[in-house]
Amino acid sequence: MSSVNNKNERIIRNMSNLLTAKNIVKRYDKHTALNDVTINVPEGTIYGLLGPNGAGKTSLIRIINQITGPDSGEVLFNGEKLAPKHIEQIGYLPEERGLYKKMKVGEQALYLAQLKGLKEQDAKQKLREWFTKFEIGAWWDKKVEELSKGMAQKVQFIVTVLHQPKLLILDEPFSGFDPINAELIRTELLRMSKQGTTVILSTHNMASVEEMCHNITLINNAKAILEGPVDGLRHKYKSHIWEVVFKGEADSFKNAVQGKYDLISLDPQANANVARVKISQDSISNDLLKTAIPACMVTGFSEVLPSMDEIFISAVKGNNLTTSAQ
Amino acid sequence: MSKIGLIIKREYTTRVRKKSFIVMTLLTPLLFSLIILIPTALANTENQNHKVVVVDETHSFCGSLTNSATVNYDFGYCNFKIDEVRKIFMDSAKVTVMYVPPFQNVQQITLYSKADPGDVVISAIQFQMNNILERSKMKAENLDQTLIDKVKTSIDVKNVVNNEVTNSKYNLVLAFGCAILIYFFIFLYSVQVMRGVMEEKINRIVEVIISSVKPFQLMMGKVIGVGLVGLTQFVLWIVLAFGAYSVASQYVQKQAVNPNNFAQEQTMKKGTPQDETAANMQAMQSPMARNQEMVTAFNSVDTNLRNTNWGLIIVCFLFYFLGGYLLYSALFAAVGSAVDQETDTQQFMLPVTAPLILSYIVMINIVRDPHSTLAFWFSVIPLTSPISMMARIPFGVPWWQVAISMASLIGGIFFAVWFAGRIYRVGLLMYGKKVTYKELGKWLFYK
Repeated sequence: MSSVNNKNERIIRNMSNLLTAKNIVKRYDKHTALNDVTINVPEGTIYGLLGPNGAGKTSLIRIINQITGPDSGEVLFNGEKLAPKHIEQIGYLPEERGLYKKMKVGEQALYLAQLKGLKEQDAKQKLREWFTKFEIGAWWDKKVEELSKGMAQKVQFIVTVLHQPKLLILDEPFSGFDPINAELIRTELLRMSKQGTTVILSTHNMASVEEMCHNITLINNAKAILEGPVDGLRHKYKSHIWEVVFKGEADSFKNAVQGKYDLISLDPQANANVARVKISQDSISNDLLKTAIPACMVTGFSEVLPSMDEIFISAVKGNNLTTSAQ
Repeated sequence: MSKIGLIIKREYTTRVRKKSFIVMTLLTPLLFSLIILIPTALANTENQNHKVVVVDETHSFCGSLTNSATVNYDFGYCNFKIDEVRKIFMDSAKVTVMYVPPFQNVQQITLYSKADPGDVVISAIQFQMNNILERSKMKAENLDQTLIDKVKTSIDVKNVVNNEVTNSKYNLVLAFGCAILIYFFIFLYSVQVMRGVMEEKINRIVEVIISSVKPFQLMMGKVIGVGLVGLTQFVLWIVLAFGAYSVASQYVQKQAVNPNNFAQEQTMKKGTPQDETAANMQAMQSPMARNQEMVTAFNSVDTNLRNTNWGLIIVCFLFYFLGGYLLYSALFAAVGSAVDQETDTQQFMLPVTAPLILSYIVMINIVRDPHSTLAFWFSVIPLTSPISMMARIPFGVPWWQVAISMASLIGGIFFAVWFAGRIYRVGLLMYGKKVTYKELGKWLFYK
């Protein structure tokens, strides 16, 4: 759980935002991609950009990358209005990413690094280091078409982070990776985050959001419908369910809590029973514990927080209901 | 290096290092000369054995007709009945029976064959017959052969334009050559730009790149990089052509100094088409004289080459080549960006290639009459001017027309690049839907 502690520390420590997007509106023809979306990304944090397909995440990311411009609203980078000079401080790994198939790996990485403003010699040296670290050094002179998909992804990741950007924007960075390589990327991201790099992560992988992200914004139907720190959101949307693990008669536990609390489930397992109990919003957990202790031997007691998956689904469903009701 | 410089460098080096570039550069001139030489060579060998069996009721042609490169006469059946001879050769595909009826007022001969001997053979026979008949008639009228040769005239036209001697035929060839070269260059390299754009879009590398550079920089980098590849190829071809020319001229000069060489060769090469006509015009020419004729012909081309204002031609050629290429490659880049598979390019290619093909067709008219109204308008409208103006330059064009044409081409380039850039930056990131013209129009005004 040390990573969670780390996360909390950093939320408190960092008060300034590296990136602010204010009231962004983007329309294509009749379709509105972003409708008054605002996000604040604190410096040095990992920020999750969530939302169903087609919600507008990629449009927002492209605006931050200055690939397209907003119809209205503004983006501030480090307190300044976003300008072409900031391109070199941003690293972007798009969801649909490719490489020139006929070009040699090293040559291509060098080209892409130079486009980000690195000097040829610096780029070469840094690339050699990363290639060694990711164990693809032998592929320097091979053509890209000879690489496996996973290896090409490694090259793309290296090129994205090589120029040590202040802000890293990764769109579905884990898709297409096997678990070992995904772990490699995760470790690198956490390391860079610890060193102060700010990361925007757009993903559908909620497990990685819970594990890595400090803050999130959930975009649905072109609007930001939910935002805040991950831990805060999970507490905010909790439904006061506690998990009690105990040894002893299941029935005596049942009898003890019945009437006072709402027993959601009781699941006898090999060594112990696991019960989930919902308490009313104003009652305190100690009372539940007091009720349970005489009936059985409690070996575990913890609050069940909703997973990001659940929050995501209920928020999007609720939002879709309200929008269609209007 | 600036970012656009990096892009140009990549586009240039990846293309120039390709084996196909080196092979193309060396093979294309060879291929072109083969395209010209092969039909000529084939024509010579194929017709060599065309046998013509003569049945002559006038008894005046047997023996006086002479074999040539195209026709091989057989006088073995001269006095046979035509029906018999036809029967004998009824099934021989490569034999033509020539029947000369007793001439009276109407002079007509008939050729019988299983397969059409073709125009070349027929003309050769006709030409010989005419000559023989003319000469015999002159003899009948008591005209002196030497006198006839003496009065035979060939007028030489000296075409002086603006106090300079010019050769219209030569100008026509030059105009044609320049215009065709420009046409091919524009097509070849603009399509390469389009392919490059599509490659980036389909490979999905484009989003990574335009997060580092502006789409416009990427487009211009590609256009300039590919253009430099074209220029490199062009310069290499000029060097190769100049090399071939100097080798040829040295060879001919040597022949002029040592006529025996040439004479020997000529006797060995008996039976070339020029040979045939020459042989019939005036019995036989001395090999020495014909040797001299060849050298004169070469020298006349040589004089024309030397008299041409190469400075003007090369400057104009480079301007219209680069201008036309910039204009069209930008448009082709826009086409490449608007589609995400090769097969979809067709619908947008048509309006872009139509003016190019049109100016190619109109060029044939322009070289015939380089100062017509049609020629003027086609050579000042930007989409058609690169080819049309280049087809006029060798004939001499008033400077103000060239100025208008160049200015409007430059204006056209700016507009095309702006127009293409607008479509390009939106098209690059559009996947999975078939784009309509209406949509393209909307892209122009996206923010």
